[in-house]
Amino acid sequence: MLADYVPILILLLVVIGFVVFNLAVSEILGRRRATRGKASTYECGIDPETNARGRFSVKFFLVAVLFILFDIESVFLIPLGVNLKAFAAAGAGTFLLVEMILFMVVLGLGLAYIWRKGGLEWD
Amino acid sequence: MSAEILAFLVLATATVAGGVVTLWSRYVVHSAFGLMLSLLGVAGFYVLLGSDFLAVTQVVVYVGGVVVLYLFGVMLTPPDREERSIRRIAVAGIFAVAALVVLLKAVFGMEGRWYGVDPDRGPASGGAVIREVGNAFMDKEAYLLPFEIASVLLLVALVGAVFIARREGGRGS
Amino acid sequence: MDFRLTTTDLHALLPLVILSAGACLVLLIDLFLREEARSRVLPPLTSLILLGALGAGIEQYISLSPGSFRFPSERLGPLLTPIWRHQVFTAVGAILLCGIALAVHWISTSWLREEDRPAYGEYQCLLLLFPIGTILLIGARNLMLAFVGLEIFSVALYVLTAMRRTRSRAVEAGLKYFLLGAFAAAIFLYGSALIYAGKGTLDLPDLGAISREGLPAPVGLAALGGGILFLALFFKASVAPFHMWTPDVYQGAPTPITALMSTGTKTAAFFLLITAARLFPHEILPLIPILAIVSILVGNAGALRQTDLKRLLAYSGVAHAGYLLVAYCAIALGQGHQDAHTAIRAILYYLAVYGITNLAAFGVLAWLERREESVLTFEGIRGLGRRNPFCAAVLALAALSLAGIPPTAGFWAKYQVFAAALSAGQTTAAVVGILGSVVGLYYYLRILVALYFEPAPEEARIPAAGFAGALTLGLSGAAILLFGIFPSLLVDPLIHIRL
Repeated sequence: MLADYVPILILLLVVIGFVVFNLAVSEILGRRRATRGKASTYECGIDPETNARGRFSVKFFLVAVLFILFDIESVFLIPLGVNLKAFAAAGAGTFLLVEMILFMVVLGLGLAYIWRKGGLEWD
Repeated sequence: MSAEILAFLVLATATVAGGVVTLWSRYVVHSAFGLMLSLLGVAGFYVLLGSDFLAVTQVVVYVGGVVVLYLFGVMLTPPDREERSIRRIAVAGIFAVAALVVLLKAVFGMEGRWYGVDPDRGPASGGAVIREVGNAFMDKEAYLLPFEIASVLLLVALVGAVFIARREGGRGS
Repeated sequence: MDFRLTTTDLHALLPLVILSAGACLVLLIDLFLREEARSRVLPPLTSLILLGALGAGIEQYISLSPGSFRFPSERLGPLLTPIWRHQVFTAVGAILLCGIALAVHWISTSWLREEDRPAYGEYQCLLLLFPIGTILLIGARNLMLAFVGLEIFSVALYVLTAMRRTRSRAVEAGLKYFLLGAFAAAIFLYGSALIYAGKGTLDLPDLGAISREGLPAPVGLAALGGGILFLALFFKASVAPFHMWTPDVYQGAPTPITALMSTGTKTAAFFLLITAARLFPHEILPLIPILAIVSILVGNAGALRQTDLKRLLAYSGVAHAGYLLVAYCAIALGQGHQDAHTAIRAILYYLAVYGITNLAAFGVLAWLERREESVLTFEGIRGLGRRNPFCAAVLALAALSLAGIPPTAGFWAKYQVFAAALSAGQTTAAVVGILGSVVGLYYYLRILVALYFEPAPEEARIPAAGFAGALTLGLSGAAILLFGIFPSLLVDPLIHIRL
C-alpha cells in the first residue's frame, strides 16, 4: 500500500525542511565580516597545500567498484534468503541453501583474490 | 487529484529535470548529481508501481553505488571544458528527439497490448514483491542458472577491476 | 514444484561446470603458489581444463546425434528446460569455443613468458572465463541468460585487451573497446527490456518450430527492442558500419587476445544472431543484405590500404562478417525451413573454418611479435619463407584460406555461404560477395609476395616458439589443408544441426 510510504515522505520533507530552514536562517540572521582567514579555502584550519581540483588516486575508484560488486551480491541473495523458509517447506531448502552457498563461495574466492593481491591495502 | 497522481507528477518532474541537467550541464559534477536526482525519481516510480524491493535496490545500487563511482571517476579525470560544447549537445539532442519519435511510434503501435503490466493492479503490500522475485529464481521462470552464473560475472568484474587498477608490484605478483 | 537437477541437466552443463570449477581452481592456485611454481603449474592445468571441457562438448555432440543410445532421454529437468538449449547446436558451439580458447592458450604460452610482468593466474583465469560466457550465450533460450553470458566474455576481453597497462596503445585499445562494448551491452539490455515490455517474455523462440509455419512479426515495442538488440549484436560481430572500433582494438590488443577476439566474439555473436533471428522486426530485414554488402565493401577497401598486418586482418574480419551476413540473409529472408537450415550449416562451417584460419594467422603473428610490435607489417615479414619456412608456410596457408583459394578450407566455406544465399534467392548479396572475394585476393596475395618473393632484412630475429605454439600452428595449418581437400569431414558433422 502506498500509505506505508507516508513515514518516508515525512522524513524526506523534514530533511529538506531542515536544510532549507537552516540555510535561510543563517542567511537572514548571520552577520558578514570578511576576514583574510575566512576568505581562504577551508581545510580543517590548516592552510590549503594543493589545488583541490587535483586528480584523485585510483584507489578510491577501486574501493567504489568493490563496494558495488558486493552490494549486488547482497541484492541477489536477499530474495532467496527471504524465501528460504517457504522453499524448505516445499522440500527444496537444502538445494536452495547449497545454491546460495555456491554463489557466496565464488564471490568469497573473489574476496580472497583481492585480499592476497593487495587490493585492500591503502598504502 | 489523487495523491498517487500528484506523486507521479512530482517524480516525473524530478526524473526529467535530473536527466536534462545530466545532459546539459557544462560541469561533469553537476551532471553526476543530476543523474542522482533522476535515479531517485525512478526509485520513486518503482514505489508507485508497488515494487518496494526494486526501489530499495535502485537506491542502494544506483544512487548509493554507481553515482558515487561516477563521482570518483570524475575526480580521477582532469576537467575538460571543451568536451561539452553546445554543438555536440545539439547533435545529441537531434538524435534524442529522433529516438523519442521512434519510441512513441512503437508505443502507440502496441494497440493497448501491454504484457507484464496490469494497470488495474494496485501496489503490492509489503514484502510480497521480494517473495515474487525469489520465486522467479527457482519456480516460475527458472532463473536459477542465471543466478548461479551471476556470481561468475561478479567474479570476472572483481578480478578485472583489481587486475587493471592495482599498483605495479603488489603483494603476490 | 520440482527442484531436483537431473543427470541430464548436469550432462547438459558439463562443459560449463568444468570451465567454472577450473577457473576458480586456477585463481586459487594463483593466490597460494610462488611465482616460479605458478609458471610451471598453471599452463598445463589450463590446457587440461580446456581439453576436459572440449571433451565434454564432443561427448555431448555424440550423445545428442541421432543413433546414440547412451542417454535414453535427453530431456532436461524443469529447472533448465525453459532456459537452456540442449541440442547439437549448443554442443557444436561449445566445441568451437573451447577449441578456440585452447588454441589461444597454446599460442600465448611462450608469448606470455617473454612479457615484462607475466600475470599467469589472471590471464589463464580470464581465458577460461571467456568460453563460459560464449557457451552461455549460445546455449541460452532466454535473453537474460544470454546477456549474462555476453557480459562475462566481454568483461574478460576488456581486461585482457588492456592487460599491458604500461603501453599507451594497449590502454587506448582497452578503453575504446570497453566504452563501446559497454554501450553495446546497454543497448542489448535496453532492447531486451523493450522486448519484454512488448511480449511479456524473454524467451528466444526456437527457430525450427517457428520457421515451418512462419512467425507473426514482432510489433510495437517488441519490434523496436528486436531492432535495438540486433544493433548490439552487429557491433559485437563488427559488421559495418558498426566496425569503427575494430582496427584500433585489434592492433592495440596483445596478439593472442586479438586472435581470441576475432574468432571467439564473432562466433558467439553469429550464434546468437541465429537463435534470436525471430526477434528481428520484419520491416528492417531488407537491411541485412545491404549491411552485408556494405561490410564487404568497407572491409575490403579498408584492408587494401593497410600496411600493418593486424589492422589488415581487422578489416578482413569486417569483410568476413559481411560474407557471413550473406548467408544470414537466407535465414532472415529465405522462404522455407530448408533455406534456413542450409544457411545455418553454412554459417557454422564458415565460422569453424574462419576460426581455424584466423588462429593460424594470428598464431604466426604472435610468434613473430613478442616485444617489438614493428615486425607485424609487410616490411617485417619480408623473406620469412627463407628465414622460417614453417611460420611462412602456415601464414601463407592462412592467407590462401582467407582469400578462398581452392585447395584450402576457406574455399569451401565461401562456396557454401554463397550457395546458401543463391538457393534462397539472395542473388545481389551473393554476387557482391563473390566480387569482394576477388578484390580481397589482392591483399592476401600481397602477404604471399612479401613472404616468398622479397629479400629478407639483415638483422631479423625470429624468437623461439614453444612446443605448444608450434603444435597449434601445425595443427591449424594441417586442418586448413585437410578440410580443404576433404570438405565432407567438416560438413557431415553439421548435418544433425536442428534448431
